[in-house]
Amino acid sequence: MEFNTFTRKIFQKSRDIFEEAEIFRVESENLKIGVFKGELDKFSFSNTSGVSLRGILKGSPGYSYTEAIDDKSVDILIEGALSSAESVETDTRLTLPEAGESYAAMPEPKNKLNSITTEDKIKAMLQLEEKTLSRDSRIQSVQECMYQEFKSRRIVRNSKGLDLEHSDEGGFAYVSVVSRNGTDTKTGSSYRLFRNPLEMDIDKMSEEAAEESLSMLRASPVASGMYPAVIRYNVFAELLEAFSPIFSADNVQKGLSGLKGNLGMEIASSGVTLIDDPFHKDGFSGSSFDDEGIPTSRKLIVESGVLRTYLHNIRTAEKDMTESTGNGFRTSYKTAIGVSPTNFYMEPGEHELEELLERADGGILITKVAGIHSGLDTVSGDFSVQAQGYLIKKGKKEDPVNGITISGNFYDLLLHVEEIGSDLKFTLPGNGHFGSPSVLVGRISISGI
Amino acid sequence: MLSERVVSNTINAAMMKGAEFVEIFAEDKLIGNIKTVGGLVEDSLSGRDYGAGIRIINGLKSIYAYTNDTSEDNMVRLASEAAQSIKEGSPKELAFNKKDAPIYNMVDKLLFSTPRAEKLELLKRAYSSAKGYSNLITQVTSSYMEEEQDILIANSEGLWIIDKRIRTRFAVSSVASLNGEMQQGYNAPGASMGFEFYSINPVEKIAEEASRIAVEMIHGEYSPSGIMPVVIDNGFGGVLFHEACGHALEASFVSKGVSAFGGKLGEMVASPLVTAIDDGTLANGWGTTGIDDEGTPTRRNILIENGVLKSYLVDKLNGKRMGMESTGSARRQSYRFSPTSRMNNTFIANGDMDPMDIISTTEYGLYAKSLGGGSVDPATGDFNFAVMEGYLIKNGRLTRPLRGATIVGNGVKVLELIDAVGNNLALGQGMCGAESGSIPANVGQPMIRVSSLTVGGRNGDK
Repeated sequence: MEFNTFTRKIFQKSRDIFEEAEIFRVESENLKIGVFKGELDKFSFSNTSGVSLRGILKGSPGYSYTEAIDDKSVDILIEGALSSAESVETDTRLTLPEAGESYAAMPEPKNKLNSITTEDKIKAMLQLEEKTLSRDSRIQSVQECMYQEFKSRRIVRNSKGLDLEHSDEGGFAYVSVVSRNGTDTKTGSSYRLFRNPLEMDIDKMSEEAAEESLSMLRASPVASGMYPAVIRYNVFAELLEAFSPIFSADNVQKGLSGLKGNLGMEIASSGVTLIDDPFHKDGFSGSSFDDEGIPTSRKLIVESGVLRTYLHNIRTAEKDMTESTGNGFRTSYKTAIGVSPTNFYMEPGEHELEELLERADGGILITKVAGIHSGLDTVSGDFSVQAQGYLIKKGKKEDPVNGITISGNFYDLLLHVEEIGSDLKFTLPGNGHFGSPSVLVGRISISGI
Repeated sequence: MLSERVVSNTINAAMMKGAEFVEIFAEDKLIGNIKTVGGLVEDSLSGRDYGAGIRIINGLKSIYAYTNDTSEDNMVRLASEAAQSIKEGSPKELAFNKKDAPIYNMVDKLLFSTPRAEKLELLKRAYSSAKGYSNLITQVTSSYMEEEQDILIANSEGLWIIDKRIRTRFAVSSVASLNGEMQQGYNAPGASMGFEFYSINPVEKIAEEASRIAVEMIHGEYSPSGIMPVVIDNGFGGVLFHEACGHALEASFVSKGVSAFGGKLGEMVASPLVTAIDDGTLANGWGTTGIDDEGTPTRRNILIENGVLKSYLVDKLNGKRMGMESTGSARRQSYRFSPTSRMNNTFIANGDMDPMDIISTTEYGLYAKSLGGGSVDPATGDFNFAVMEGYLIKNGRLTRPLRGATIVGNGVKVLELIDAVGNNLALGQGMCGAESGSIPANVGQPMIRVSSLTVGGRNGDK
């Protein structure tokens, strides 16, 4: 069945059942290339789509989704959304937005993924593997060397005539390497996110992955204690990502965020400004409308240390008697509307990484953390995660350190940011896209030996 | 799901282009979720996943294409596009030997035909129990999950096998608050079982356990840091073995020479107290399936016996690279993933010590009653885990509760450092994420003690 016919049937049937209805659809195309030991090892491609129905009954939303576009699915969607809406017990009354709002213009995807052929993408990965392997005799193997691209089209339509569409595309390349010296084994990796595969810098990627694993050889833990620390941009961005749910009004309303009642208050040191910007040039989570069809905008969440706003969708805004901030997003068509940032980052400062290191003499530069999905608690703000990095001696990064954990409390950490670097970088996009510069904190608890 | 004609023609479209092996994995899956916050239903969602993946293997090269348009035209087009880079070949007369998967998960009461009111009632009962546990409990979130997955696997060797996977899981998260601080407790058991799961596992117990943890931890102090003995209790504590060792035994890592356990079959890799098993056939286990996702029957694999490495977890493609047979361990989240070797229900077998004796013979250390999640770098074996509920052991006795502890160590070393294994084996349920997606897996162990591990806490030195 054609999608437009399918939509029409759904809206027709919905009319007698729901007050309002919304259809959300995502179409995707993916390509994945993996090489191993000089040969194409994995090749995968796909075309998929899924559609979700949100039906509003007595102000309550009911959700259902399907990946099969057929007559059977029309009934599955309607019945699923109905029984779901009937069981929901919320005190807010949801209304979907009208058509006719004005939306910022987004740059159209430039269709640059095909600027090189599939064969050339495979060749590039083979070169990346080869270059990485040949950098040093201690490099034992390339664990993974892969290329991925994604194209997606997102459609939001509702029974009030709203009909929006947004396409995006991008790709990324990744290489990870294992170095060995005697029995000492260390890994390192590097990746690039791009809209045009010509932007991949294979030389630089192989250098970064090799350098990370080689420089970690002979790493050892330091003594447990409190240390000044420079948290590198990638690590701080991961922390921001992991703790971003505390800025969601949904969590605030449910008592699951420590920021409850803190609007207008100082929650971070005065240098800290956190921004949600759907139009940031380096962001991959941009769109001029959210998954409910509300226009998005650039917002200061924390301005010079002061909490200015929470992130809202229609429902949380209704509850707080305010306006949606255009952050009503789903993680996929399989999930309900939640609250997520778009491109969320800390505003960079003026200092080079070297200057931050000079100010953290005797401390540690943290360059990588692991276990961040399990080692932290967004409710209390506590975190304790495995980390690696380098000792800072005379203002320079020196001996490698691993086998340690860094622990602390995120709310506390925000208040103790002393200096902010100028090196803003974004990580890989997930549920939102996060970026940060490197950050100097006065003291952080490290456990080692 | 797919007709024999569509399957044959799809396979042959690839065979004609010279494919050596072609496999089709099709699925039609129903999913239901209901979530309550503070006792009220906040979200409810139902859905249907549907699609098929085509895998071509030539030599050690694997090509995978997937779609949710399973019309003959689209499937044949994808198959021949996927086989594009291979030389000419010829079609094959396919005679499928049609089979059903063995059944290890008996189901009494189907989930999707159980009235919704019964599911809503479970959630209400869970809320009352969790909230009523203590007046320190300030928030309770619970969710009910059900799924029914029908799969068909067919390949160019004449395999045609179908399987039905039924699973349910119930999660409760409680927040305790005191003096402006908050602590969370979480409990989420599940099984490959029908609605009878809730007769065997009353939701009251599930809910009280989540609240108990939150209340214990709100009274906790920050954990000390340093190297010390760590006693890890049964059930979800088995996630340590899963992360620290299990992943490195997967053929995906071993076959590429990037596993810390590569080339060590027959060698002593653990303390002689350790026997570890991965069993895909455990009745109604969270990670149990009749066949794996390549259609091979699952089985009980002894991985380590009295400290000696006996077996890896092997799928067909990596087995080919290693010259080994599949151990029935190929798994994937859905048709969107090419399968690879994964764990099903993995656990350390019972030893003979009484758990009480393990604690009483520990002079000073951390007792991790339950662990949260963790992760591992399979190449180095370096792992980390969050301790969800911990206590300080002093002079062989449990003293104050500890919060915010993480343990880090190395998988190869930790197996050798296990110096006590209890006799109270239990399993815990988790979702395991790796290359072929997120899949349900049981972890498990009796109480064990690791003689020295790095504990990361916020309380400086001990």
